[in-house]
Amino acid sequence: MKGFQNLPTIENLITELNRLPGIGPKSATALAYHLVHLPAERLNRLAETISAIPGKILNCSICGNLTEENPCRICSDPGRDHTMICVVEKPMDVLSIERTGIYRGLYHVLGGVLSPLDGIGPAQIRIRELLERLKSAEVKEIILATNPSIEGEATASYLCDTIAPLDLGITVTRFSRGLPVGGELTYTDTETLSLALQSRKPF
Amino acid sequence: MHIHQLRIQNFRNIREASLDLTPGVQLLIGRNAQGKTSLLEAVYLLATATSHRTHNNRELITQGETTAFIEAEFDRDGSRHRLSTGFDSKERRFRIDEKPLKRVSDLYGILKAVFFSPEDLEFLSGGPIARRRTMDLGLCQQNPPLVRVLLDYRKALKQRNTLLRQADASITTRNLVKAWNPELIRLGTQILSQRADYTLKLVEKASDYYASITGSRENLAGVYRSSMTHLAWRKGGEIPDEKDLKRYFEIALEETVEKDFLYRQTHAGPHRDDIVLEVCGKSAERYASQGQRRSIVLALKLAERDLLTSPNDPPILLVDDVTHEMDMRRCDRFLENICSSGQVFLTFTETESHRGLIKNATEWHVQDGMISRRSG
Repeated sequence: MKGFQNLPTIENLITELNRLPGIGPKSATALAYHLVHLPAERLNRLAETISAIPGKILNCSICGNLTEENPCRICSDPGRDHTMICVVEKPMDVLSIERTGIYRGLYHVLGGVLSPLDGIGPAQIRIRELLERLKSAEVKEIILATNPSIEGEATASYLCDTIAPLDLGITVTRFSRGLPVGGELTYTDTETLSLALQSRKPF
Repeated sequence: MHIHQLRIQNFRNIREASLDLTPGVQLLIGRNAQGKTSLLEAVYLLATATSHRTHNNRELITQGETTAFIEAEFDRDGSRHRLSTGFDSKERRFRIDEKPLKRVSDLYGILKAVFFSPEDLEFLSGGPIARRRTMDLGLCQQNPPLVRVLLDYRKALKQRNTLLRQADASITTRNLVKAWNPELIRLGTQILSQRADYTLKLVEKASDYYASITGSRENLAGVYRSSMTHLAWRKGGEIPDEKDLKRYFEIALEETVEKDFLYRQTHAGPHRDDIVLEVCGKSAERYASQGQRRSIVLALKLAERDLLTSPNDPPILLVDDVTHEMDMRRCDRFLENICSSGQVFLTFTETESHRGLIKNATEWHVQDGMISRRSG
């Protein structure tokens, strides 16, 4: 950032904000100038909340989801169905599925997907941890809920091929692909539409 | 489909041009290296986001300038649209009716164009890569959703090949490589079945044109050769449905996996397919003469024009310097054919005699990157 030579504090603030996802130089500048006008008390509260993150938020040692207590509330809830594990890419996916309110099983957060181009193999995501869980727990079904991207599909396919030969009597399922609810056929892209057509089922 | 107005800024040696065009034939007349081809290239870039001469944006921008701009106002299905692209050395952006296009893949099919160029001969001499590229450029304009499928396929392939390059052949690695197969198969069969179908239709039409160019003395045939277990289809042959193709592809990937590990790349799939043309039963790539080669690519381009014609709405034709070495009689027939087609851009050098064969054309004078209307 040029033109801030006499305001190094603001310059630093803009640089840090600009590093956040979805925030370009213009938004970063606007946010920085907004923050400058806030009362000291609010600024301190914001700073304290952010600085508390490293000590308080950790990954659940079982499922890998974000939590403030270990194991996390979902893993330690006896009311949940411990025979089902839903495998997702990232913690925010857990949030989305929890919002539906219909899933009562457990989760496993991989923390990414296979992508050789980015140097990400099975060792870089929590696959070994998942296999350990399957061996020890009384899991009957595993739902592969990685994104329907090329990498997400490959990861699901790899997991399926790795779990099947273990002969644990576990059913492996995959989220189906299809039309969005409330969407219109006219506005659905061809690829989604053709997949929905291919995976049609008796009515 | 025709362009009413074309505006070009800082594109190659064209600094500034604004042309009001008529629906028919546009003759671009000028000596060599004055900007005739660049004008055609600009229109094709607007239609397909590709140039037949370069992959490098930098080369497309006038020396000493940083950004180039091309805009066309055109009529399609009775309504008028405005398509534009602006680019610097790093980025290229497209807008349709002032709205930015989110992905370049959404561009295909908006403005359809066929480029006749002396470089078309590469279809016969440039190996399978040039042939697949030509096929895909035509096919994607005819069937725009396939662009995304091709891009996704390329990505899945790159992932798999990256793995093959860094991997040992252990069980874990084998499973990892195999994990990319389902996506390759899902995307690859779509490409295969549509490209094979398009190729057979194209060759069928092209062989009619070839017969008429040669006065029915020679015949042209073509085969779509798949890399999978040596499958090949020619005219009349039935392309298996996608379910069968998926099965073939799966088997092929299993069969070639050892070879894949050895050479560290994927051997089965539409990225290894080829189109083999034959004149009177003999491989055109190997045996055709220069004259035959010219007639073959001309026939293929005319066929591409036909396949891109939606009822009574031909694509825009960009014809660069191809009549140059034709004899008078063949040239006459070729010009008659393309000039009845709709909007056609034709380049000519000053001295060329064939020009007299074209009636009712709008003439443009191209000199040193300046384009001006010629009266009379």
